[in-house]
Parts: sequence; C-alpha cells; structure tokens
Amino acid sequence: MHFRSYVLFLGILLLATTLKAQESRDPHVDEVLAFIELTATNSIPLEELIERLSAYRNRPLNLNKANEQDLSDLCILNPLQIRALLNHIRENGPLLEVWELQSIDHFDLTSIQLLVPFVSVGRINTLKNTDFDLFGGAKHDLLLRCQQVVQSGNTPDTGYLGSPQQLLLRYRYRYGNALSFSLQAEKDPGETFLKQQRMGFDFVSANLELKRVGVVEKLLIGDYNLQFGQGLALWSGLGFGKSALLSSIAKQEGGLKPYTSVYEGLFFRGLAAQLAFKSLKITPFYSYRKLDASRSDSLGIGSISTAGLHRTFNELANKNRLGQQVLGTALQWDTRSLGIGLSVYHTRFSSPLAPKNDWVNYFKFSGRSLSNSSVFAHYSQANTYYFGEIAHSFIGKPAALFGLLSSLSDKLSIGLLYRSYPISYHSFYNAALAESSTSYNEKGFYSGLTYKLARKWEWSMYADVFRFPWLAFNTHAPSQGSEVLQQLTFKPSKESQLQMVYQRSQKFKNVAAETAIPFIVPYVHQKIRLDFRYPISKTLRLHHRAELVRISKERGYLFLHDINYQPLQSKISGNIRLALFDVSDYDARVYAFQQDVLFAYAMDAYQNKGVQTYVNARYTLRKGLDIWLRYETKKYIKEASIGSSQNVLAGSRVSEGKLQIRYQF
Amino acid sequence: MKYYIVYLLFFSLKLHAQSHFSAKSQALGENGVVVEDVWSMNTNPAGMRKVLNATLGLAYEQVQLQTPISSQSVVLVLPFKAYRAGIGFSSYGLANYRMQQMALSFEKQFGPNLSMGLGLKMHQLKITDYGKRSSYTLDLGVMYDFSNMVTLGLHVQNVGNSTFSSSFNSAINPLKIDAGMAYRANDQLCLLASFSQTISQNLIPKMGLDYQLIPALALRGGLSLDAVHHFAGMGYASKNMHLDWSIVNRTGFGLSTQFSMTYAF
Repeated sequence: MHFRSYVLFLGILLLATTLKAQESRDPHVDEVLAFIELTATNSIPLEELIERLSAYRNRPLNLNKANEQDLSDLCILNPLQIRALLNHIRENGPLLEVWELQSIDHFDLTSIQLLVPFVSVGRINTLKNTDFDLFGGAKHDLLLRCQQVVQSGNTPDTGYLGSPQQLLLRYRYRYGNALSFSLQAEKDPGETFLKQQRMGFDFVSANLELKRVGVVEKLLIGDYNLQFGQGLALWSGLGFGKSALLSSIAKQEGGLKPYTSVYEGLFFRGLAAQLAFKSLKITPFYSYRKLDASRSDSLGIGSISTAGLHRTFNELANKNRLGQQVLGTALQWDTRSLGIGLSVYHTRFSSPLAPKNDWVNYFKFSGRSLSNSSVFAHYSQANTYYFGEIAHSFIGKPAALFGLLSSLSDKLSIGLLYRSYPISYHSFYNAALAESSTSYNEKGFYSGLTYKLARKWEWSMYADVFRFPWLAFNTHAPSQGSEVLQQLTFKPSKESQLQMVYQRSQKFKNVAAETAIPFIVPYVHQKIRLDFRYPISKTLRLHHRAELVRISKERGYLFLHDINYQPLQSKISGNIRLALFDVSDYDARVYAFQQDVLFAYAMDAYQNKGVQTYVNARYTLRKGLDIWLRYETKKYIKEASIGSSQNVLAGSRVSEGKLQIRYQF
Repeated sequence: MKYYIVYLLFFSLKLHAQSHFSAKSQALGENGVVVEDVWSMNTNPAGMRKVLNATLGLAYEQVQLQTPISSQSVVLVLPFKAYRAGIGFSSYGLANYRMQQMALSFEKQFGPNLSMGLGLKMHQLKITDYGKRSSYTLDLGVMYDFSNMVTLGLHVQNVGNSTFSSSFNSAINPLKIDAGMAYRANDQLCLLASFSQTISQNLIPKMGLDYQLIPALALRGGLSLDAVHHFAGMGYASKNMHLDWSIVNRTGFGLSTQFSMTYAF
C-alpha cells in the first residue's frame, strides 16, 4: 500500500465529539527531557515518561495528595526533595500555593520551575467522587501514527516482507484514577501488516489496571513493568544512567507499573498485584512471554533479541522462539525515613540458553532457569539520603551497590556510589547504574556534586572510575577506565539557559589492526558542548548548539539551530531545525535530542557529513482533535548511498515523513 | 631557642618522601598548595603562616602493593616574631630502594593578606648495588587572602629542575607549579581547587572538599582529574592535637592509606 493510502485510512477513522483540553509536544516536557540529559547509549522506552508528563500537563498532580511514588514518577525531584516535601505537608498541612515550594528545604528555583507546569494544589477526583458511568464518565485517547522514509519506496527489493511504512496505534482509557486500559500496536518498516499477523500489527501490547480496591492498591492484567530497589535484580522499563543530574544515581522505585511503550524489549506479561497493608506492600507477579531468540551452534538459544524486528524470513523464524516464565514477589516496607525491601523471583525458559562459546562469554549465564533475590533499602537522615541493594542469583558471588546523596549546604550537594557486579552474577532484569549496558562484570566508584556558584550559575560534575575484571565486547582483556563530566549552567532568566559541557572518558579497546597476539589499547573520548536557549518573543524560542567530539585522531562536529513556535492561543504550533554535521568516523558520532511529534522520542546519532532539516507542526482541528506533521531530510555530502546491507538507499538524501492524529473524547 | 634552631639547621639526616602530602592534603585531593598547617612546609611553605605555636608533626603512609611500600615523615615548625621556620625529615621506599629528604622552610608575612615562603631540600637516593646520590632543590611559595572567604596559593617545586646524576635522572620530583584556591563557603564547608603542572607532563586539575561534621570532626574528599583518582579522609581536632587519616586508590598503584598527627606545644 502507498503512503497516501495510509493517510486516507487514518482520515476515515476520525470521529467528532465534545472537545477536551489540547495537548501537544509541550515545551515543558521537552525542557524536562533536556534537563534529564540522558546518555546517548540508553535504549530505554522514554515514551512512558513523555506520556506521563503530558498527562500531568493535562491533569496536574495534586501535591497535597501525591505519595512518594507519584512524585518520583515525574523524574524531576531527587529523593531529598521528595522527602522534604512530604515532611513539610505532614508537619505544616497542605500547600496553599505551588510556589510555597520555595520555602521547603532542598528546593531550588530550577527544580521548582521545571515542576510547576505539572503540579497543582487542588483536589483530584477519585472513583468514589464520580458517577459510575464507565463510558460517558471516562476519558478516551486514541492516537494513530504513520511514518515512512520517502526513499525506501524507491528502493529495489530489500528482501523485506512488508511495506516500508511504520504504523502505530495507541489507545488509552481512563476512569478517574481507579481504572485504566491501554493498548498499543506497532508495525516496523519492512514488517507485514494485517496479512500473516494474527493481531494485524506485528507488536501488540495491552493491559488493564485497577486501583485502590480495599487492600489491592493495584491489580494489573496484561503487560507491565516492575521496578524495585536500585535495579540490580528486578527492574524493567524506564531507567537512567550517569548524567549531570546528581539525583540520577539513586533510582526511585516505581513498583508495579503498566507497560505503555512499543519498545519490544524486556517487560512482563501476565498478572500482577500490589497489596498494601499500612506500611507494608506486597507485589506478587506471574509472567509468561514469548521472546525473540536465535539458535546457538548447539541446540540451545544463542542470544535473546530485543530489537523487535520481523522483516525477513530469518527474523520471523526467530520470532517468539523462546518461552519465558517468571514467578516471584516483592515486599516493601516504608516509614517516614526508612524503606526496606526484598524481591525474589524465578525465571524459567522453554529452551536452555547457550551463549557463544568464546572467552568473552565464558562466564555468561547458560541453562534453563535462574533464581534471583535481592535486599534493598533507603534511609533519610537530616540532609542525607542513603540507598543500597545487594542481589544474588544463587550462582557465584552477590552483586552490591551502595550510595548516598547529601546536601552539605544550601548551595552544595554531593553524590557517592560504589558498585560491584561480579562476572558470576546474572539477572535478566537488571538496570543498575553501570558504565556498560548491563550490570555485569564491573566494579566502580562514582562521585558527583552540584554547586550553586551564584543565583544564576550552577556547576555540576561527576567522576567515575571503573574496572572490568573480565573480557568485554571489543575489549579482550580485563581493563579499567574513567569518566569525568563538567557542566556549567547559566540561567539569565526563567526561559533562557546557557550550558557548557565537557566530558572526557578513558577506556580500552582491542587494537584495530590484525596482530599475532591481540591486545588492548587505551583511547580517550572527549566531548565539548555549548548549548544556548532563549526566547525572542512570547511565542518564539531559539535554541543553538555547538558540539565537538574527539576520539584519537577522529573528530565529529555538530552545529544545530532550532526555532520553536508555541503561541498560547493558536491552532498552529511547531518547530524547525537546521543542523550541520561533519563526523569523520563512527566512533566520533555526535548525539542530539530530536524534537518530534507527541509521544515520539529520538536521540539521533549524526554520522558522516551533511545537513539535516526538519519541520514539526501541530494543528488543532477542534478541541480534542490534533494533527501532527513531521518532515525531515538529511542530505549527505560525498555519499553515493546511505545505509548498509538490506537498508541501503541509493543517493545521498534521506527524507522521512510522519503523520499523527490524536483524538481525545 | 636560637641555639636549638642552629642545631636543627646543621642536622644532616637526608630524607625524601615520594608522597609529600600530609594525610589532610591527600584527603583533599592533594590540594596542598592551599592547605595551611605544619605540613605546608612540603607543599607550600607560605602556608606555615597559620602555625602559632611550636608544632610537631608525624606521618606514616603505606601503599598496598604486592610488597607494601611505606613512607615516614616528621616535621617541626617554630613560630617567631616575624617569620616561621620549619624542619622536616622523610623516608620512602624499601630496603633496596630508599629515598630520603631533609627540608628547611621559612615563611614570612608581608601585611595581613600576603605570605611568602621558601624551602630548601636535600635529597638522597640509595639503591642497592647502584650506590647513592644526593641533590638539592629549592621551592617557592605564596599565599594570598583575596577575601575573608577566598585564599589563593602558588607553589613552585624544584625551581631549578635539579636532578640526580644522569643514571638517577628521574628520581627527584621535577619542576612543578601548583596554583589553587580555597573557598570557605561557611563555617562548615571549604572547597579547594588547584592545577598542577609538572614539566613535560599533563596539566592535572584537582578538587577537594572539607566538611566539618562537628567542630572537632571533619570529613574530606577529593579528586584529581587527569588519571582520575578519588581521595577520602577524616580529621579530628582537639585543642592541641590534630589526627588525620586519608585513603586513595591509584589505578595501577593500589590502595594507599596515611595517618598523621600534629601536636602544638
């Protein structure tokens, strides 16, 4: 089917009813994402966070009713701030005005300015306060998206079974705060649609969540995430790595959460509940999923794939190859200042895992089942928040993580974290802070601080020293390394910000040339970034960035300029980008956050040499009905073709169009 | 007292410490250029200005290698009307390799804010079957109170870039310049930062933090940012005595711990 047919298809599905509050890709949401400053290598489902923040823009979180989990879900406040707020309300009564936050310890102006768009101090509606009308009293949110790389329609037979379009269907049903249903379905480029698909789409995820019925705080049927402790043993979904944001080192448990992403990675599918008995919470869960996996040389499973691509016969053959059952429970006991928890679960596969038999994988998990347990705790005392977790997989040595966040004065905060992840420790759901992509084969010590130099100046930095006791990917010997980041932020006004970042990391990798005896060599990766955002009027904001990456003799440059148009009362809003880049080698690629349609997120890596432009536009047809259009083009200089293997596109230009419609009723 | 000083000046035990930072300076990320105590005679002689009584200091450091290496130091600083004088001895190494140093330092104040100092060091290196060598180096130091919260420090070590003979060429610490700043944010918190440039080597930025948990107890931490090293330590202070402890983990060199004690008479 052609691109135009999809547009028509989406248009037919439009319905017209009463109007609701408008939402778009909110600049306040973008501000939080930029503030969080994720590491480029994180492949985490950020749609959850975007959706959550966007929802709070529409229905602000009532600070007087929010609990610790609600506040940590915003990903804006650190644990000290959350505790200070809860203690303040407990001791002084409800907040009368949001800006009262300025009088609470540990709350700085930056955090408050980021927080204000998402919170209020008014009443919230609960199931008890509304009439019992499951349809008329509920909120519905339907979103459809279609996108395609324009040139892929002209590409000779790629061997893909499906069309080049990417489709997304997203539906949300919410009845107060007590009942919700979510459905998301996706087709990736190259995958088939409708034909050969039982559910039409290649990936379908859904869940039903019931809240606050007696001791059942949450009951979830379908797809869900579990987030406990510091991510050593049981953590799926959104999680952050090292960043200039000091509080990112202390994970804040989300507990049981519905899975609302189309990232086909690690999540749970089945049944879970969160039971609350005063200070004690118990979360039993069961999950059965089919995972994509490839066979190893033996009859076992060589590797599990989370890419979720099923475009070719080979990829389809690996689809749903491996059955995975998970059964377990988590306990949490929380008081005002102390929280202790325990998680225990067992994983069993339908076929044994048998990773490739080489020295790098020598200690990797093999077998059919694995049991995991962990004990975690956090404690607040005065101006210091302590946290830690010890996890064991009943094989080999336990893994451990301990840290603290402390406000030494009203201007200075520090963070310290020690981690030890032995090669004999295994977990399929770990997301603890690490230099590598998983919490495995690593020891390290992190220290960071944030200091308010003056009212408008803030300095952040961290230094991380780490060691890999065993071989790793592209590093075939035990090695060590370090990473330092320095960030200076100047905020001349509430809307303006100038930021300077310097990051330097030193690690080891295999020597590039073929040698009789392979060995590892050190390399240094440096990054300098200058970022400036400022308004030029009430509706127009500009953003400029210059970034240089240097690794050995390779260089990468990026200059980008954004114009954002966000009028208060208008049917149209949008943004434009112009970016120039020149990257001499893949290792020197430069990452930059891309603005996109609502709920879409991209952290693009600029490679080779060229120019990028994109336009995002939102148009409100009527209240509750919004359309987004996005068109991006990258023109590469001195490239005759782009991409590799089956994704090769002839020519030096890549363009992508995106159409999204959202209907709320 | 004068005869006592003359006796000390002619005392000729020649010692040298590989790590000349006190436990306090080491815990603060080796920001000795802006630390002011008796041990300043090694890291910035101008820092002796805060010594108001005759003060004796002892230090012991051990590096946890396969064969542990230790260093021992002793210093004595005497205040006079217009200046301070200090003498120090240190020894570092193993039975077959020993570096020893004797140092004489002087500090004088020029007004309420400015202090300058110089240090003369005699170094001796003994290596079994290779013999021993001696040499002399000169250090210069400056301390300046920019404000009642900010102090600046400058130290030039081995001004003439003296060495032992060619076969022992790299043994003495080469010409090095340290420049730094101490910022006393409030009664509890002091932040330190400095740059260290050794000739023909990389510039090393350093940072340190001193936090008074209670008036008698300080927690310290520091970083050096070329090859990243973390430093940590604690200090206890009573009326006459200071006890300090530090620990550092240097990549490739192992864990090093140091204890030092000073007593003011």
